[in-house]
Amino acid sequence: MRLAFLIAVLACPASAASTPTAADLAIFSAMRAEMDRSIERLRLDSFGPPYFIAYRLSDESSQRLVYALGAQLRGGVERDRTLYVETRFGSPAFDNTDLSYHGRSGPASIDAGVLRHQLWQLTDESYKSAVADYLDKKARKATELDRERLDDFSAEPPSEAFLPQAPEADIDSLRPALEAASARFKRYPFVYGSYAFASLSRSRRYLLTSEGTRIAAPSEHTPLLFVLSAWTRAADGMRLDNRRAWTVREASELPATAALEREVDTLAAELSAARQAPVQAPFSAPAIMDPEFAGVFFHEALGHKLEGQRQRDPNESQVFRDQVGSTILPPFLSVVDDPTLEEFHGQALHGHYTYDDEGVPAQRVTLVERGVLRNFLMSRWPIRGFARSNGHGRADAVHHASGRMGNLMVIPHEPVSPAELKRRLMALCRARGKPYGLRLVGSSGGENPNNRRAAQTLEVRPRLVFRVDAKTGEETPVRGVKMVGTPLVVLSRILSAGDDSKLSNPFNCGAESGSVAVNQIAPSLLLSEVELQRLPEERSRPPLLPSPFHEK
Amino acid sequence: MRSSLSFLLCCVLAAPASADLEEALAREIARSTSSLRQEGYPLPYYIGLRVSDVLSGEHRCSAGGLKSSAASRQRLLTPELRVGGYELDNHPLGASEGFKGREMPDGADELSVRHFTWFHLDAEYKKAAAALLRKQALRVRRGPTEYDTDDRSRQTPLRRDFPRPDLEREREAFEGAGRQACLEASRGLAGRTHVLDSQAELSWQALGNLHIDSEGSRVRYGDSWFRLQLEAEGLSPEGMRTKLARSYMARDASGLPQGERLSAEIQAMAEDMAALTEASSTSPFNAPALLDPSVGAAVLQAFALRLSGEQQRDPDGAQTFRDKLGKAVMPPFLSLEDDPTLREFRGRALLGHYHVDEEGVEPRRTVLVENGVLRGFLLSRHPVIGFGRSNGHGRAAPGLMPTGRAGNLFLRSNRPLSKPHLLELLREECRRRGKPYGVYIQGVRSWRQQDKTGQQQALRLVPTRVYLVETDSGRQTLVRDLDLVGTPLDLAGRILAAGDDFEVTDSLSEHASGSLPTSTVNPSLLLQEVELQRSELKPERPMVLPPPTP
Repeated sequence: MRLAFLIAVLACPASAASTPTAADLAIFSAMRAEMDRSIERLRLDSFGPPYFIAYRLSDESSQRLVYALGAQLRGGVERDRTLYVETRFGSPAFDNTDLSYHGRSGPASIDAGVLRHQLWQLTDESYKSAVADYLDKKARKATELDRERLDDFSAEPPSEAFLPQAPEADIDSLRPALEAASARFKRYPFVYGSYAFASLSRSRRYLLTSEGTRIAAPSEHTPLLFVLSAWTRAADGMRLDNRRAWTVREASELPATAALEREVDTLAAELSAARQAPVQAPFSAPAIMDPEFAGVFFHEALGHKLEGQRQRDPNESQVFRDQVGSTILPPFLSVVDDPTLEEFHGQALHGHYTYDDEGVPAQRVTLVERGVLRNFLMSRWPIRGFARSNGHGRADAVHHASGRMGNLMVIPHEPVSPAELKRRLMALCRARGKPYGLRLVGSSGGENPNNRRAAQTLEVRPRLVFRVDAKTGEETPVRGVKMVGTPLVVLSRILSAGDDSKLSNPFNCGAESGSVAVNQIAPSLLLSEVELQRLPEERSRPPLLPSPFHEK
Repeated sequence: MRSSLSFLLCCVLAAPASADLEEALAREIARSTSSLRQEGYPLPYYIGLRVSDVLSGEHRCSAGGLKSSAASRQRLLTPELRVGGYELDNHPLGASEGFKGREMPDGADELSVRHFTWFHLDAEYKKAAAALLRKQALRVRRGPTEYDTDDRSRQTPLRRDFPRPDLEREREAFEGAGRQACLEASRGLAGRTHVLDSQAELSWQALGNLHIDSEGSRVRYGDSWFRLQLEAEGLSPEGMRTKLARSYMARDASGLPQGERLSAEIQAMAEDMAALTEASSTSPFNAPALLDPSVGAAVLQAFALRLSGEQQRDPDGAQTFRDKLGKAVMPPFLSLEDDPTLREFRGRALLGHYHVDEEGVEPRRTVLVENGVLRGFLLSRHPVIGFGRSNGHGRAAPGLMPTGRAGNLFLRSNRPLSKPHLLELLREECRRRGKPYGVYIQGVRSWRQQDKTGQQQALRLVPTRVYLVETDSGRQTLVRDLDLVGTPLDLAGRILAAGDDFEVTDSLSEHASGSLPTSTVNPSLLLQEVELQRSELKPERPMVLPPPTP
């Protein structure tokens, strides 16, 4: 369960269903022919046909450019077409699948004849393993006791949609911005390494199921990713990284070149401050999380734990399985996941989609209502009390879909201003006799094990950390620490929320069903206590000679 | 997609004025050789920088359609920094230090180029200073070995511009003729009886290199190659998977098989598949064997990998030939040499030809084995006792450290025999050894060899076709699922006769210093004995439904 920086993004705004293109129809007709034949005639020994088949085709291409110090460092293009075949044997009540199930995948062709040939082979393989897996699973059940008897596959009405693809864009138009932004780093000789990165993706996903679902849609909302990144070392050799990322629908939504240059100045100024900053010793104190850090914190501490299928798996921590109707957060917070939202305050949402990867329409789901747990992120894996999907079954091109986040929103009901949050932080520190509190800003990712064998600790790595003086409120940057904690304890320590809700840097989140696009929208949060732990040491001697930029 | 594939790279090749790049690198080399030092540690005595513009790509096609395609371009800086002296420096004891290429922006101004170079040289210097101390410590502990000698040979600096490929034209060829060749080949493979799955893969690389060092060398050179690989899979009635592959290399896309030649190759492959699907399996055995030139080439390539200078000094390496100089390692009628200076053989271009190696040394024709006796090694500037100079075989792919590698390997025989004569000798040898049959091995799908002291020094080769040749009747029967195993030294020592059917086999030779194009020129070889072992295959259930039909 790890939140990694976004590497690739895919395509396009989805609007109302339109008519399929000729290319769409050719693909569906090849899929249909092979699927019908398989459902009718696939038999092996005494075993009958599969009861469900799904074909998924992902047609993805991407263009990438990396610039450093004003010149191109790397460029490339990629095109991949991938097939994924899911075959279910048995019945929805008991079939071959379990939480580790993945169908068969392989390369795909757009040529109808070749596509059928490829589907023929993948369906054959996936049918044979479905029958074998079904028998293995039944054998296991002869000795294992199920605590609860749950169906394996929820019933959903079929969907049909053909969503238009945005026109193909040209990454070359980004060259001036990449060049200018990357060249700006020349002003900062203490930055050892820096780059500006852009990728432009185009992706269309096709889904056909034996239940009659037929969907062709762009598979990502924000195809353009733009990143600025820089690193240096402090005098004691500690490595310091800093970055900014944007995911947008089109180039016009990016900051203008002058604004990108100012972002570079800010990145460099933050790095420069961090180089001078003292190393923070492990410490626990009241803290303010900025909206971006709070978003990643909720993604790790709550979002992943509310993925439906985890409540089925006895190896999972199942922290919230029996808590529906119970209070798990302070009453001034609600948490919603709404993939149907396309924008937040005019900014495109990376986690938006219209149909999930099982063909179920995306739905707004209230997970926590004024502190009370109400729902889970549901795919077609049923769990106790929730027999249906709520349109959160997501996967990458080669994995089986499971309940995942889309646009996760932490909604404050009695928000206060950031200034008031800071006043409360300082008061709390003084009351506790702490010389300073903490402000955690931005995030470079987090991690959170969900398996019972692992301790349920989570970590979130802030981009910047500040000490906030308890008396004066003066902020001093510090470095070398990350936040650690256990989810239930940390969530219970939230005291107030700000009125500054913000869309945080978008991520691609990696989990069992692969990498999917997500967003977090959250306000600043005040916590009564957070614990900071040292980052792993990665020190080496600073360069011996001065940079040639410096040496005149 | 065609449009987006082609527009991306077209406008990025505005290379910097190359003089600026050279100037920037030279200035950082000068600054570092005079002042890059940490207190208590020595200055660098040698700095070499290799800047490689690497364009590469791959198309994968099936049945006349594109499955995936990728192309990339990067500029890599490969630094080589030595502290100590020619007698003892930080050269690793083993063959390689792993990948040390660093990306560098293309078209950056002089100060930016220097910034990158400065930063990477700093890191290299610290590593080098530490490595030298560790190496000295090891010498103190274990004492000198009988094969210790200098770490770096001296070399006259070279200043030359050799031809470099026009990278932009190369890229156009990859997107145009290269893709067409791939699509055409994949179309021909599809829909053949017995072929369950098939693919054509076109890989391509074009390189423009600049080598500049603190000794005064400045060399520009480059290279390019295309490789077309045809792959097909079938399933025998017993559920054994048959995999076939054929590969072709050329310096430009037009040199790849096309038209009638391609059709003939595909037809031959389809016939192989049909024959192999019907062929029967047999148990492992050993017997006299006739190897066709392509199989012989693989054995010789495996043999040559053991002949690098580094191999003889690597304490973890096989050191197969360390004490064999002046001794017989092959039968006396055979000689083996490597000559990268030759561009072609009987009108056919040789892929292993190059003008200069990755250490700025021009290659020389090098006799490795003369009338069966070992006479030399493939040498980079890391010397071997008895050989104080490089013979221009210090080759490496971008980002890797050069080691002695083959270019164009030639096996010469002063007793060339015709194919019927060789088959006759094969049966004779079988009779002499009381074997009911010998084997005739044709074509190679793949091969690999282990070369560490801790491992068995084995070569495993997966042939395309293995025929049993009956001793009495001479009748040939195709069998399947057998691999050839053996050690290169043993196999070479067992050569009884060589043919007159010299062929060129081009391949990408794989080694710690990267994949490099090489050519091998050799005839069929008759071996006293080879061992064949069962392929790693498990039976599968045949397909439930017949293939789809329109």
